[in-house]
Amino acid sequence: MIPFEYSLLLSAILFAIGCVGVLVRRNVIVLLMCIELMLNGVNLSFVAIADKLDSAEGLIYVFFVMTVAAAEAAVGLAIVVNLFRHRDSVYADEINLLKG
Amino acid sequence: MDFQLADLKLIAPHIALLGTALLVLMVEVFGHGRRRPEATWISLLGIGIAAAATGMSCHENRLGFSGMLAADGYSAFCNMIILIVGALTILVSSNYLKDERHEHGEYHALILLSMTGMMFMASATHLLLMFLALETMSIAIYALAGFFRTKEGVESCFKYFLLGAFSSAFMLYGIALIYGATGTTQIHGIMEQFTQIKGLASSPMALSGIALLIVGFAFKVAAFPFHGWTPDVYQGAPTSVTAFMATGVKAAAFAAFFRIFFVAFPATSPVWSQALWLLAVATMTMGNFAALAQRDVKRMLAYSSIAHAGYLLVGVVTATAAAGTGMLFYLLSYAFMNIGAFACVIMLGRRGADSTNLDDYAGVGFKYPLLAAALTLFMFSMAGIPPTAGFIGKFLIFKAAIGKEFYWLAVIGVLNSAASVYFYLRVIVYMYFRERPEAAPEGLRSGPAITVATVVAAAAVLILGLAPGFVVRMAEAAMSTF
Amino acid sequence: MVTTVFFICAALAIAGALGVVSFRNPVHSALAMLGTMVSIAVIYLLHNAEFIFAIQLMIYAGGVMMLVIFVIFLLDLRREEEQRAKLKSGKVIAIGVGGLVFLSLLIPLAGSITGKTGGMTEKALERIGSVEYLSNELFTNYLLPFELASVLLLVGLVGAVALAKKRL
Repeated sequence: MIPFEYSLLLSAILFAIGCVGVLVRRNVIVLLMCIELMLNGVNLSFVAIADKLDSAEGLIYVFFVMTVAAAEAAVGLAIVVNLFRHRDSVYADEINLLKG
Repeated sequence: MDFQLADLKLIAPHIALLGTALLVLMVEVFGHGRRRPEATWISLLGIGIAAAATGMSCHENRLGFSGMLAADGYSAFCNMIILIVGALTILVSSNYLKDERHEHGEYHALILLSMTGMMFMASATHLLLMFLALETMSIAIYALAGFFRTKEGVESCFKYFLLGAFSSAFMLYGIALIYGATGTTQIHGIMEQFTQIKGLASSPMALSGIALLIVGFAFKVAAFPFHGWTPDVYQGAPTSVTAFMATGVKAAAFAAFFRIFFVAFPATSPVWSQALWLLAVATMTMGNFAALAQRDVKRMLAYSSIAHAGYLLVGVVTATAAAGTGMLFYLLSYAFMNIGAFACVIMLGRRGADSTNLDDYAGVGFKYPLLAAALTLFMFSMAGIPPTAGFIGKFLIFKAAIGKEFYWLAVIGVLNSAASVYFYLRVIVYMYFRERPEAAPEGLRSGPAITVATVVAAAAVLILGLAPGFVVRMAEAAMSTF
Repeated sequence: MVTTVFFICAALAIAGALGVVSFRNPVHSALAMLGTMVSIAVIYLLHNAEFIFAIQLMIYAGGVMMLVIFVIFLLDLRREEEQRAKLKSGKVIAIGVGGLVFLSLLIPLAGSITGKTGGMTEKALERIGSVEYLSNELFTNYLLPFELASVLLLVGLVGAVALAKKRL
């Protein structure tokens, strides 16, 4: 039996690394992977909490988050393919992400 | 609890929209090779059926599917707003798509699917269903934002997608923490846990969860400091999609935001209402002051939509039945005035060149008097000048804020609306008091459908402004079903 | 024993995550991501979530990551070297934001878990397995989200086609 705090800590670390990745990286494919990393972090806390509470709901969340991640990946990669056609590159330099 | 057939009645409007979306896709597949105006009519028919179904299911007033969703007056009112937004968007798009050579049924199908998501969002009483509905809505809109595949369109689409997915992750983390703190994510269940467990209202896990949920919603409604994506995305997306995003997403997100915070978290309201107070003030001030500097009408409307999100946040901060009434009324009137304004923007553009610079509006007033009159009306309404719908909406929200002793919030809101008059009026000044350049292109991108949409929107803005009583009573009745 | 396995997997997961963020070549990032996913899958197993372990491997590692790698090769992105970020300050800010996010995610650990417990106890699982238990929940209480998930996948499908197909 793993203490659930350990898993929550790990999930926070993964989430934060993914978050830094989204802000630091310029390659759009890697940006997509960083988002997946964040979702994986969240999933881990769902599983840990579900284990701790003996409740099925957390596991069901993970199931649906995977569905959402799959749909997001499909649309995201379609956008990347489209972006590539326009610019022949996949760097998000011009798509200044945080400027209003 | 087992599935009951009677529960299907609660989601009849959603099923109607979904069925229509599938039908549109099928017509697209099997009617290949010719230009098809059918998609527009089928979609409108489906929206009509969904509206009728909403009217029939609004008296059910109960939870269905093991507490997943509620078919109450509140959902019915929000559904109606979303259906109106969808119908107007489809009417506005009809000529625009033809002119831009993008008349594909997928567009209508995606609009209908995203409306399905919005309606589930407005009626969800479980965070899981709310999250899935949010994703259904968002993914459809990501695709719509890049539908024209222009360079700007695809870039804005990617930006919206990335930040949308980023914010979903935050929201999901918030849900996970709330689940850890309460053991449930059904909003009535959460509320019960807060009353039963002592000290939960100050538990770090619950409070962090609520904070992350606020971050997620703030991204979706484009509230400060998570508004950065709005101007670029609104400018880069097809204008009809921008109108849909600005009104539909806002309606659905605020509907879910208000329901969740009003039902599930009243026990912690002293904490989150302070955070949202700051967010509301910063959002409207920032939106209005940034809009002052814009010379592009589409970008100006983007910043104005941030400011409107700020006014609507006042409703969530106040979180009383009166504030909910104001918010519902405001969302409805915002749908009419904003889509109306974007319809005028579409009509003044031409293929491949949206001509949304302020200079393109010079002298429009005498060249196209009816269009200019309509745009003037929409601008007045957004600025909140009586006798328009926008004035009544702001009045209801600020009155509710004063009723709960948020005096400063109301004062800052009124000052903000006063400041916003400047940039809305500037459009009108350009239309009536500037010479139209000799080289200005001739002709309007007009057609029967977009004209109908503009006339309906203008009439609704006036009617809601002059005789709001009926709709206000309906919104009050909707709020009383909580 | 179990704790040792956990720490090994956690270390691998963190190493993989750092790899995703720092490798210059997207293919290496994708492989690091796969490593992270498999390590997390093992942790799911330690948390008694066999079903989630299986779908993590099948859907995430097997499906989503394969799609990502497929697109990397389709667009032939291997050859592109990531240019160095022009502004160092941007990176510093990003790492600051990440640290802030991390610290705020530590806040929940300050209190204890307070949620009410559910019915998925070991006793209940002795009678029926955990997959049966989950599927029971999924097709009764969570029927509506399950159906909405199918709509979500349809939206993903139509959206991807609308965006990526050469001619509509």
